[in-house]
Amino acid sequence: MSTDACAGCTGNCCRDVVVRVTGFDAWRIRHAQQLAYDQFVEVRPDEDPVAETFRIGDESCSLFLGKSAVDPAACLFLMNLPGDVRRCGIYADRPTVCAVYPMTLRYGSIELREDVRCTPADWNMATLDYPRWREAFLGYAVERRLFGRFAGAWNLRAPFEEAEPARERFFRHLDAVTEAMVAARDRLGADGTEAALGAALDAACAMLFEEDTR
Amino acid sequence: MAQRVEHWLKCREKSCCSYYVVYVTGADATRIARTLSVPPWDITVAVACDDEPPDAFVLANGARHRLALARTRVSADAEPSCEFLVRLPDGAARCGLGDARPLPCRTFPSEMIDGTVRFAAEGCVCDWSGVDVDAAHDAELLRAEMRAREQYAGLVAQWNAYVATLARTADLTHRDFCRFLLDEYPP
Repeated sequence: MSTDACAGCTGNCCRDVVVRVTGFDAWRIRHAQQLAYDQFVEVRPDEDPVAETFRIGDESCSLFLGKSAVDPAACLFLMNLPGDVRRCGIYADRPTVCAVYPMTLRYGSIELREDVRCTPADWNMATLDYPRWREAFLGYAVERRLFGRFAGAWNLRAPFEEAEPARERFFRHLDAVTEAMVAARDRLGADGTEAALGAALDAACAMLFEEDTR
Repeated sequence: MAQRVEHWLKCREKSCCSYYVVYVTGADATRIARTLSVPPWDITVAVACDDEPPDAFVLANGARHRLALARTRVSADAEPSCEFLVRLPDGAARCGLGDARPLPCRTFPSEMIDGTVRFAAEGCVCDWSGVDVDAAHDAELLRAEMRAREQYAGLVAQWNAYVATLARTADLTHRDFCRFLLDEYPP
């Protein structure tokens, strides 16, 4: 949702911030960029646990975008262009939390975040496409809830094991569950409601855990 | 996803992004500029040329140039590579433009000789021997690229004709040419 407000962007929102992503985000980036998860996403203990936090070993973890090797404060996908200009290197596939930045939902409508890292005056709140931003936010909320549902199933049923096999198993489950939801969405089209995707997720989770215990 | 595209995406090195200077059309330059909200003069360069290819445009004092994507060095001892190449912490390279990348990059390494599509991966360290050529798909893309180049050559001819009418061209810059392109390729 790039607007003219982003024309002068120097990528402050992509530096010095921790970007917690959903399983959907990670899966989308992995497929679009043909990467392995460990090339771009980190599984780390979450100091500020959320509904999507999942257990790895004996720690509560989240998925975070990795950092650049050249500039450890920056997102690993940030492109440095001439003239102090920075742009996202996976713009079309960027995490939804990045796509909805720097807005938030307030009383059901779009508002600029108070902690915005760009110049607030750059955003013309009168000419903003409110329905489009709101739709993006609602989509983000659905992705978070579904990932939370997956994390909940994982936390209840995943066997306790050391961090490394657990991480590997987690990503294997994430792949299978997300693919089941994407297949359901493609099959159902407009009927692919959150409840229908949730049902596909539950079925995939049940099958995976059953396979694991065989 | 076509096998060729998947193979290219998976490539860690992306040596093609260092080996080639990517000459682009006005359509590529303006599309990338608009996608990134960065003016085309900041992401392209005017490369001086001695011969007269159809996309050579005239700048100050009649000197001919071609439009190419800007290149950079990630470190002092590195080869220059495309400005948009993203190097991940494990060394894997990815194109930061995604689907907005220029047509020559989208068709790489396919080329059409006498109506037959084949791979010509000079400068590429990848092994393309096991990758199938999707002839119908790539032929369509290559024809689109050819049409874009023809359209661009027509606009370059217009520009050159306009410049020929000017009494003074000493301060004519790459930026002036890019502004002409933004005018000719509307959003």
